[in-house]
Formats: sequence, structure tokens, C-alpha cells
Amino acid sequence: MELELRNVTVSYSSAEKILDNFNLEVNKGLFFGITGKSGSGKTTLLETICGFHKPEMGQVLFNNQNIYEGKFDTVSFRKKVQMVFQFPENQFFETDIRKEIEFGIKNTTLSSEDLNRRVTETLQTVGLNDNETEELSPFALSGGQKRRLALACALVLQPEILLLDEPFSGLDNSGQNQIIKILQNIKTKGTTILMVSHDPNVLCEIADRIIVMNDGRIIKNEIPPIVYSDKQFCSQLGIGQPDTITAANLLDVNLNNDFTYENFITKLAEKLLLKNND
Amino acid sequence: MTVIRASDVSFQYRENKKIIENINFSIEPGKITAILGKNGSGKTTIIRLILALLPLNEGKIYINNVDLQSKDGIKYIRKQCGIVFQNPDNQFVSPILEDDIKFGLSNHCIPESLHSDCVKSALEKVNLSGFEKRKISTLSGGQKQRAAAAGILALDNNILFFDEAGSMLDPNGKIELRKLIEKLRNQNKTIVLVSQNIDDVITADRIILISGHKIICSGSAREVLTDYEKLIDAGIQIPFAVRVYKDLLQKGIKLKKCPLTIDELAEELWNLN
Ligand SMILES: Nc1ncnc2c1ncn2[C@@H]1O[C@H](COP(=O)(O)OP(=O)(O)OP(=O)(O)O)[C@@H](O)[C@H]1O
Ligand SMILES: Nc1ncnc2c1ncn2[C@@H]1O[C@H](COP(=O)(O)OP(=O)(O)OP(=O)(O)O)[C@@H](O)[C@H]1O
Ligand SMILES: [Mg+2]
Ligand SMILES: [Mg+2]
Repeated sequence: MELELRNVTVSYSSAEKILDNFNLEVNKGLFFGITGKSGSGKTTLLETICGFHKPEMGQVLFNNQNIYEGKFDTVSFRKKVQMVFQFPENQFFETDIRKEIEFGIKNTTLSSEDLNRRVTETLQTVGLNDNETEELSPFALSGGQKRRLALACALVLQPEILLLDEPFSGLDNSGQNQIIKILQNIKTKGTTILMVSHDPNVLCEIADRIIVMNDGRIIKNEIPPIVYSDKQFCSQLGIGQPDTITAANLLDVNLNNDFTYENFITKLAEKLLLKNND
Repeated sequence: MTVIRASDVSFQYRENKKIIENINFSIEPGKITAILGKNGSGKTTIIRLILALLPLNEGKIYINNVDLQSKDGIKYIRKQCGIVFQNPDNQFVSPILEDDIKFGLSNHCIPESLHSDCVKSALEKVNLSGFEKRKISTLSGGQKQRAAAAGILALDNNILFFDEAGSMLDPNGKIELRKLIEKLRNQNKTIVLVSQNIDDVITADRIILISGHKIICSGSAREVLTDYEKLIDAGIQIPFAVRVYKDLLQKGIKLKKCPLTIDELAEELWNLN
């Protein structure tokens, strides 16, 4: 087990528990989507995994070691586990984009050539590689460009675990597709990903498992089709349903638990052509 | 009738790096107008120009026929307009939510005796009742966005800008914000909306599509959002029903007309038989 939370309880004040006796096991290379109502504790969960909130009770284990224990090697942990925050723009501090990305890797053994190459490659993968943008200060970027930069800063470190808090919000269509591809790609290389999102379409497309949270607890930890096919459950927990399911229900199309758009359109066309031939 | 009129507006942050070029548009009162375009296309820049948060060097902007660059232009515009910024952290000035909303009220010369009621009703509108005394820094992402909206709603301006104001909201929160915006429209407020989420803009009265520093098309939501080629050109998400229409066409199935919503798609498919 790469990552494990055992009976973790986190609270900011005495009264309210933000994470309530939380248990989770994460195997290497898996993609977890985390969803649930606003205020259900998703950001707190990622921050706890990252080492920001010492739980009142319970343990967070990384490769079987408690990350909040005194003798734990925090320095190397910080390199292996990267988080992209919900409002990443509040994190920038360098004067230009390249420096911002370089910051995390400049004290490594990379030669300056390798370092430069890696920064350029990373800029390319997130679509910030045109000359005009590259010259800008991080603060001069547009909202969507800032999100891409924040992701680049995490990716360049090639983390073992990547924690993403709403990485798609405000991103345009091509940005979304680009980042979905990046995530799928690093996943095949063994990176473990935990991604918080409110978007059922995206979650259904890329997550191996979905964790549904409510009031600091896990309500469900299942594969996407099981979570999203239950209409009543989805509306009760306020997590929405993918467009393909909404449409399939309305149009009486059987998706056989494959909620991708490609499958939807194939099944719909099959059904319509069959009808025409009757 | 127009509330906001932009005439031949160009803007660049740096020498020879045009962001928008010779843009002309007018925004009607009591309507929802959405500005769509990919990341970095200049949507926030246009809003900043209208609100005089950036200097207007080329072209003219008028609000209710008042020239932005006239003597009291800026003062007039700031009084008419409210904005929910793309990053809510740019919105707040006080650490405590209630104080923050009251700060805006004082700025708008609303008598102190009314402040508590205004705060209460604004927080109710965004489902944050009871959060008056909360430190803003302790709010979750979605709560922060709702708090930012509350601060603007309290001021009751006539022209409201929402720049990605719902991007962090959960699905129900997004639906509630859409309803709230429609309600404001029904109260005859003028709304300017920016969102990458196509579901947010489907109910807009008018859409302005930007690409390559220019407005490439504008019209009703139906006209613009069913124009597949233009949307692709502008790098915008295609509405689900429009995508289905296009892909069915490729498979040799032609619907009578291009649907905009899933409900309309269903209707078209019933008509098919
Ligand atoms: N420092 C704090 N003091 C008190 N309450 C806090 C503090 N930080 C967070 N909270 C509360 O804890 C709850 C969980 O917050 P969290 O940020 O984890 O939610 P979330 O699931 O990420 O929500 P969202 O989808 O809106 O981002 C919220 O109700 C929030 O108001
Ligand atoms: N202060 C600045 N200095 C230089 N360039 C800037 C500055 N602010 C913005 N830009 C550039 O101007 C362009 C337009 O930015 P703007 O914020 O208007 O985009 P946007 O359409 O709102 O994008 P998004 O959807 O990502 O929010 C971007 O390419 C951005 O990098
Ligand atoms: Mg959050
Ligand atoms: Mg913007």
C-alpha cells in the first residue's frame, strides 16, 4: 500500500470534525476521483495527505510510515508528493514563468541544460510554450493560464503522488483535453493521482475509482459506473451525473456501464438505425 | 437600447502585443450577455476596461451614454457596476465575512442602520446564512465563491459582471447561481457573464464569441452555441446535444434541427420516428 489513512480525524475547532474517522487505502498507480458537496472536506483531505494538518487522531501512512511522526523524512516526502491547490495563483512568487517552474528542481543534480530542457518540455505539455506568454510574470497570466502554470510546477518534479484540487475549473476545452491526456500519460508511468472535482463528466472519463464524501466521511468508494448510475444517490449527495447517463436515461439507451461519450454515440446510433430498418 | 457600448476598442498590456483589436459591441439592459473565448483570449481584460480598472487608450466605452473618459465617468461607472472577480481572493478586503460585506455597503453610502439586514439577506441568497462571523480565510473554495457573490449582491448595482464566479461550486451550487442570475435579470439588472462551462451560458440572451483578438460572432445562445465550426474555431466546449447532433450526422442520421439541450435532443429523436 503506497498511501493509507487510518481512523483519521481532523478538526479546526473543538465542535466540528472536518474529517471524521476517515479510512482510505490507495494502491500505487491508481487514479482516485474525489467528489462531494461544497464543504464536505475534500480540500482538507488532500491537505492532510500532504502533511498540512496533523490529525487529532489516527495516522497517515506513506509506504507504511506515519508522515506526522517526528522521525519521518519530510524533506524527501515533499519532493515525492505534490499538490496543486484549489486557488493556485496565491502560491506564485517568482518574477517569470520559467523561474517559477524551475524553482522546485533547481537544487537537484540536473545539469543546467537538462534543467532548461525539462522546463521547456513542461511548458509545452501544459500549453504555455508560446513566446509571448513565456516572458510574462506569473501574476500577469489570465485565470486559465495560471492554472496551467500551477500544474506545470507540480509536474516538473515528477512526483510519485499527485494531489489535484479542482484542476479543471476555468480551463477552456482544449486545456481540459490536454490535461486529461497528461494525467493519463503519467498514470501509465506509475504516478498515483488523487483529484478533487465537481465535474462528473471528467471524473467518469479518467478516474479508476470515485470517492464520494459527505460531512467529512466517505460515503462511497467505488468504480465510476456504480457511483454514477444511481440517480437517487447522486442527487442526494449533490454530485451530479455525467451527460451521457442523463441522456441515455431520457433516450432509453442501454450503455452497459460504459459511460464514455464514444460508447454513448455508438449505442444511440445503433438504436436509431435499428428502428429505421424496422 | 444599450447599457454598455464599446466602439473600436483595442488594448495591449505591452508594446506590439495586441490583446483585443478594434472591438465593437453593445450590451442591452435587462439581459444576460455572455462573453466566451478560450483562456487568454481577453475576456477579463474587456471587463477590466469597462470598469476602468485598466486605462482605455484606443476607442471609446459608454455606459448609459456616459463616456468612461469624461470627467465623472469613472465615478459613475463604479456606482452602476458590480463585479465578482475570477479569483475570489481578489474580492475581499476584510478578514471577517460580515465586515467585508459591510465595507462595500459603506462605500456605496448605504446607511449603517440597514447594514445588518443587507448582510443577512445577501448571505441568504447564496446559502451562507450563519457564516457572518466566519474568517474568510477558513472558507472552503465553493463557500468563498458564494461569499464573493454575496458581497456584490448586497450592493444592488444595476450592472453585474460574473467572471467565472461559479467555477468552484458543486453541481447544485452551480444550478443555484444560474437561477440567481436569471432572477436578477428578471429584476431588470444587466448581467455580463464569463464562464467556460457551457451549461452556464445556455440560458444567456446573447453571446459574444472572441477569438484571435476579435469578436468572431455574436447572437442568441441558439445561434452561437449551435454553430459548431465557430465554437471549434474559438476553442470552446461544444454543448453535449450539439456534439451528438454532429456525430449522428456523420453516421448518416439527420435530425430536423440542431438541438441545444438534452431535452431538445430527446424531442428531435422522437420526431425522427
Ligand atoms: N480553519 C478553519 N476553521 C473552521 N472551519 C474551517 C476551516 N477550514 C475549513 N473549514 C470548514 O471545513 C469544511 C471543509 O472545508 P474544505 O475546504 O475541506 O471543503 P471542500 O470539500 O474542499 O469544499 P469545496 O468544494 O467548497 O472546495 C468547510 O465547511 C469549511 O468551512
Ligand atoms: N498585466 C498583464 N501584463 C501582460 N499581459 C497580460 C496581463 N494581464 C493579462 N495579460 C495577457 O493578456 C491576455 C488576456 O488575458 P485575460 O485575463 O483577459 O484572458 P481571459 O480571456 O480572461 O482568459 P481566462 O479564460 O484564462 O481567464 C493573456 O494572454 C494574458 O497573458
Ligand atoms: Mg475545496
Ligand atoms: Mg479571465
